[in-house]
Order: sequence, then structure tokens, then C-alpha cells
Amino acid sequence: MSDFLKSLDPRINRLSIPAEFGSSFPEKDEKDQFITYEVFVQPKENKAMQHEGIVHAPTEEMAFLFAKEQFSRRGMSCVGIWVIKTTAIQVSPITENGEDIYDYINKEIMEGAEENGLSTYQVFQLAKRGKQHSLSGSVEANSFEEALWNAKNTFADDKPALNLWIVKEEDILKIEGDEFADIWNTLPDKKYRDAMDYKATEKIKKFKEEQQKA
Amino acid sequence: MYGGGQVFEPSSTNNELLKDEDPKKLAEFEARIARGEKIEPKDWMPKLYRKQLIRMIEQHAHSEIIGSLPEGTWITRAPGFKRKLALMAKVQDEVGHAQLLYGAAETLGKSREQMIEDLITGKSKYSNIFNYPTFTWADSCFISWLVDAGAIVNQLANARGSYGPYCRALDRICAEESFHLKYGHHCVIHLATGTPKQRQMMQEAVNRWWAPMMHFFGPSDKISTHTEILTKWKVKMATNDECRQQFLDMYVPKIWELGLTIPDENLKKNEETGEWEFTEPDWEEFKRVINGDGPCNKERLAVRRTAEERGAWVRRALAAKTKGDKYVAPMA
Amino acid sequence: MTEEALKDLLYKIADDQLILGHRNSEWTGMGPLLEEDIAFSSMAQDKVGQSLAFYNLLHQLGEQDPDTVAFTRNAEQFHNCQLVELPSGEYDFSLIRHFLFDHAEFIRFQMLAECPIEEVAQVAKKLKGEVKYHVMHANTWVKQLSNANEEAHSKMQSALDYALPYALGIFEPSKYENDFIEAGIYAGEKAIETQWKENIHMVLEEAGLKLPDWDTLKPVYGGRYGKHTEYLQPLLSEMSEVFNEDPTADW
Repeated sequence: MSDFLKSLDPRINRLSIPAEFGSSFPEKDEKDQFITYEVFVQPKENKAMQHEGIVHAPTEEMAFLFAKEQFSRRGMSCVGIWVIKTTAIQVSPITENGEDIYDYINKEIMEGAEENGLSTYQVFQLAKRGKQHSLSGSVEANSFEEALWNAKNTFADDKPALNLWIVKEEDILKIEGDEFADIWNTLPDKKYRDAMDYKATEKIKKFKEEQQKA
Repeated sequence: MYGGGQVFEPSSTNNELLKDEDPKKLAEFEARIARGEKIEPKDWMPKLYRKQLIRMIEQHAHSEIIGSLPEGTWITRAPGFKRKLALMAKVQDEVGHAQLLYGAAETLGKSREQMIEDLITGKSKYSNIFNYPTFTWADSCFISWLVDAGAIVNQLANARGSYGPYCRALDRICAEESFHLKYGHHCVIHLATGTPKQRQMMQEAVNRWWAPMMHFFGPSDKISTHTEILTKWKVKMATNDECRQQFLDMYVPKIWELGLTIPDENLKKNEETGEWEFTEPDWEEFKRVINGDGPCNKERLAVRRTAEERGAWVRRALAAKTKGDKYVAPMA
Repeated sequence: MTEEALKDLLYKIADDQLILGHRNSEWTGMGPLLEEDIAFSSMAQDKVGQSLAFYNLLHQLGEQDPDTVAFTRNAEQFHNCQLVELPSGEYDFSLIRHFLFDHAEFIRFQMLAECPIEEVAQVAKKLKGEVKYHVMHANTWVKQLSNANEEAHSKMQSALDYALPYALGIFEPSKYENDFIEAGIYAGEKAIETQWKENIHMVLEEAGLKLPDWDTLKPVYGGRYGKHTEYLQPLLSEMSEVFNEDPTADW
């Protein structure tokens, strides 16, 4: 009997895994769990930056490296990615569909807010339950609370929003603009990742015709 | 790629979980679902809803990561550039799906590392079908086309469910699966209409994989108050039999048109009822394989554990960089 | 410059990419963490896709179609450097190889983007963006891991020490070096090597990894002339196992 696990996969055979690989496996140390980054992708110039999901990473540079291939490896184009540590995002309460979160925001929220000097804050809105947050734009403010109030004055006239995410500009890693445009420039050539590249109806038709003749 | 089967197990503890919920909150929650609105992570939800969703999404994620192995078996041997690139991308997608799904499950309060640990220690399950071997290239083509087709039936149903993060992950996954399905079909068409040797290879793969494919959707659901409530909460969106029937309806004609035969002489559509009739799958074998005694269970877990072990120093090193930062669940 | 010389150049570029892409695809589904599994697989796909672009250029020059060229030649007909055919090993080696190779390839593509042969310049210009990401990826990983803890630092240093003589083999001079330089195709291997040493030095310094005195290293040459390690033929046989069951069949 062989000492190693015998697999149909040559890659696995090269790993020489012991045939009797421990039936019990040690429980892992919690520290393996990296922190969470939220990922936003802008597919083209005239479209808004939109929340696409998360990656777990040890640093924001690595979060970007991961985000690019998990959330922008398909599609005809991509013009930018933002990654933001989840803990850096301030979240408003969420309302029911049809309501507007801005209706619940009044001037009093700024009372007792911790002021940190004037900064830029980016505001993301959720238009409907089940959808994704997308970027509305930025406001200048001295605190998150003031940013919320300013967001109401800036964006409340647009379509209703159910939920807001607000982030300080300095907490965002932005990979976008001319400096990075070329890292996505072969996206349209990756046809092998696209269902459209696998047409075979002609082949079936020809096969059926031959079957009938035979 | 994911099927039904072993997800919903009613138990007395589940009934306990339901007993002490706040009736007012529960009514609001149910009304929201009845209106067709999604539940988002910060919303109030019954404990049983959370528990069942974690269980379901986690098993789905495990099925993706383990599901990358049987097709990965052929990744270094795919014939020609087109197949080589496609199979690499396809297996990569499965890993990507696991990443998305773990993220959705995390919003409910279980960390990814905990889920991965439960997979490799054998505490949680994954889809039964990946415990079967891919002997030839044609086996990998069968999976790409038909196992993915079965998964799409299941996933499209679940994408209409009530939990926002899971639905968003599934929308993205289903979009990618359309590539898998077309790619797989393309491969099978080329084999079935190719040389006699290719054709034989494909037929043998169909013969091997038909039984696991019928198992894929799981045994007929037992209707209980438990499944009724999960249906009402839009956690369970279709019965195992409905999914199986839909799959047969869509794909059996496509298999037959390629001149391939299916190894079940009782398989036919009853034109009166519109239902497919078939030989009852061997549910004893299904149970045996789920409980660990399938042809590849041992290998799949051993490989996953080995990957975990080989990567441990990398994760240890990187974790050292994140000192002071605490893990939090994803937001949406 | 003769067509013979141009083909020699295109073959070595394409063969490097194919073999490295193939090797790196071995990690797909078995990477050290999920997100990296995905990123590394994308780069493996990029490499195979790049090789296809260069085999297509060769096809236009009258060579056989890409599938035949890639799946039916023997080891001695391949012009890749030995670095890319070495087994994937553990992640330290796979990362260091990716770092050393992609830095060289980025410089090569920057040069070829200015090549007077329009078809070659176009391909190089386009693929340069892909390789830019590969280099970002490699730099970040090498720096993060090498600076992280003792264990990772020592693994990365050993992998670097092992890989360097093979990496120098990337720049094994072709018998047409002077023709390329005179025709302005690109500045030649020596020039890439010089620039490469500068570029990797900067990153490795930040990573806290040591570079040996270059004079003490003996480059591993031979690959460009069909001389390979014991690892290439089995790799090729495995890659073409299905294809060769019937090379005339449509798979």
C-alpha cells in the first residue's frame, strides 16, 4: 500500500499528502481572521461608484489587490476601485421602502458631536432594500453628524434614500485615474470568461442533420 | 454550485427557538417578507431564521470551495488554449463564489475562519456530488455543464429569497454561472459530436454521473410545520422535487439531442401529468456518501486541510500586520 | 534583422509565459487564502493569455497554430528559461518567482512597446497594463511577508537565494542580440538585466531581504537553447495528455 494519498489530480499527487491524513484536525487560532474591507467599483466614467462586496485583508493595499480580481475581473471596463475598512464607515438607521431616511435627520443630531476639524466626507446611499449602496457625492463637515446634516441639505432632493454610509475621505484607498487606467485595459479581451464566447448551435444542427441522413 | 438535500432538518431545539420570539416584531418581520421586501443585516430577525440561513449559506459556500477540486483535477490537462483558459477561469469562479457566500453568511454573525474550521474539522457538510471522482476530461465537462445547470436551478430559486446579502451574492453568482453553463455545454457538444473515442468518453461520463446528479437535488421534502415556516420566510424557495423536475425538463432533451443515452430505462416524461418519471434514486447510497463513505470524501477533506496547513505560515505572518484592528462582520 | 531572429524572440517570450502560467494555475483552489487564490489565478490566466497573443504573432509569421505549437512540442523545442519550469514548491517560492519574473517582463514590455514592428509594439503596449498589476501584486506581497515575522522573513530569503541564479537565466543572451539592438527592436537582454537589478533592489531593500553580490552568482543558462531541467518534459506531457489522445480532434 502506498504511503501517500493517490489522487486522479496530478497536482495533488505532487503534494505527497499522507494517505492517513489526520482524522481530527486542530482548531485554529482566531487570529487567522483578517479584518474586513468594503469594496466599491466604478465600471465606467458616467456610472456611480457602487458597493460590490467585501474582502478580508491585512492591509488596505492588499485589500485592493484582492478586490480588483474578485470584483473587477469581468465586464467591458472598470475605471476605479475604492476600498474602505468596514470600521471606518458610519451607518445611519435603515428605513422601510418608500420612506426617506433624510426625513429623520434634523439639526439636533449635531448636538454634542465630536468635532475633528473640517474634512471631506463621502456619502453613499441605498435606494431600495436588496440593492447596493452607491456614491452620491461628498460634503465638507467637522464631524460625522454634521456630514449627515449636510448630506441632507445636499442630496435630500434626489431620489429617497433608505440608508446612508458616510466615510472620511482620508480613510479611503482610491485606485483610479490616469495613473491606473491601464491595469484594466485588457478586460474586453477576456472573452473566455464570457458566456457569449461559447456558441455551438451550428455544430448541433450539423450533427442532427447527419444523424437523420444516417 | 450547490444542490438541495441536507439543509433543513427540523429539530425540537428549532421549535424552542421560535417559542420566545416577540410576537409584534415577528409580525412586522413576516409582513415585510410578505410585501416582497428584503431583510437586511441590521434588521430584527427571528433566531431560527438566522440559524437556518447561516447553515444554508455556509453549506453553499463549502460546496463551492470543495467543488473546485473535482474540476480542478483537469486544470493542468485541459486540451488546447481555449479550454485551458476557460477551465482556469471556471474553477477560479467557484473559489470566488465561496468568497462571496462566506461574506453573506458573515453578515449573520459567524466569521469566515470559523466556517472554514467547521468545514475542515468535518462539522459542516457540503454538496454530496463533489465526493465523486472525475476519471476523465469528459467527467469535468459533465460537471461544468450539468452539475452547474442543476445548481443554477437551485440558485435562481434562492435568489428570490428574503435575505438581501444572500440574494446579492446569488445574483452575481448566477451571472457567472451562465458562462459555466455555456462553456460546459460547448465542451460536451464537442465531445458528443466528435470522434468515436471522444463520444465514448462522454457517454461513459454520463453513465457515471447520472446517479449522483439525481441525488444532487436531495430526497423528496418531508412537509412539516418547520418547512412551512421556512417557506413562509422565503428561506426555502422550492422543493427538492420541483428543482429536480425543472432540471429534467430543461436538460434531458438537450442530452438526448446529442445522441447520448441516459442510464435509466424508466426515465420519461408523462405527457398527461407533465412530470418526469424515473427510477427512484438509491437514497441509502446518498446517505452513506453524505456521512463520509463516498469515493472521495476523504481526499476532498485531506486536500482542503493540506491547503490550510500549507497556507498557515502566510496567514500567520499577515495576521501579525493587523495588530490592533478587530474583525467586524461585513455590512451588507 | 531576419525573420528567424524575430521568431526566436517571440518564442522565448511566449514559452516563458505559457509555462509560468501553467505552473501558477496549480494553485487555483489551493491558495493560502481565498482572495489570494482568486488573484493568483487571474494572473496565471493573464500569463497563458499573453502567451497566446505571442503564439498568434508567430502564426502570422508562418509558424503552426497556437494549439499545435503549445501542445505538441517536446521539451528541447521550448525556449523558456529554466526559472519558469521549476516546480511550484511552497508559496514563498511561487511568490518570489512571480516577483522576479514579472519585474523583468514589465521592463521587456516597456521596451517592446516602442518596437518598430507595429504588431509586436501593439501587443506589448496592451499587455503592459496587466503586468503592471502583477508587479504591484508582487511588490506588496514580498514586502508584507518579508517584514511580517521571523518565520516568513526566513522563508522569503531562502526562496530568493534559491531562485536568483535561475532568474538571471531570464536574460541569457540570444545569438541575435546585436541584430535586435541594431534594428532597434529592443535594447537587448543585458539592458533589461541592468534595469531589473535596480528595480528589484529597491523593493527588496524595503522588504529587508538581502541580495548577494551579483558576481558570486552563476546564472543558470541553457533554457533559451532548449536545455531544460528534468521538470519540463513531465510538465508538457501532463499539459498535453488529453490533447494528444487525438491531436486532430476538436476538443
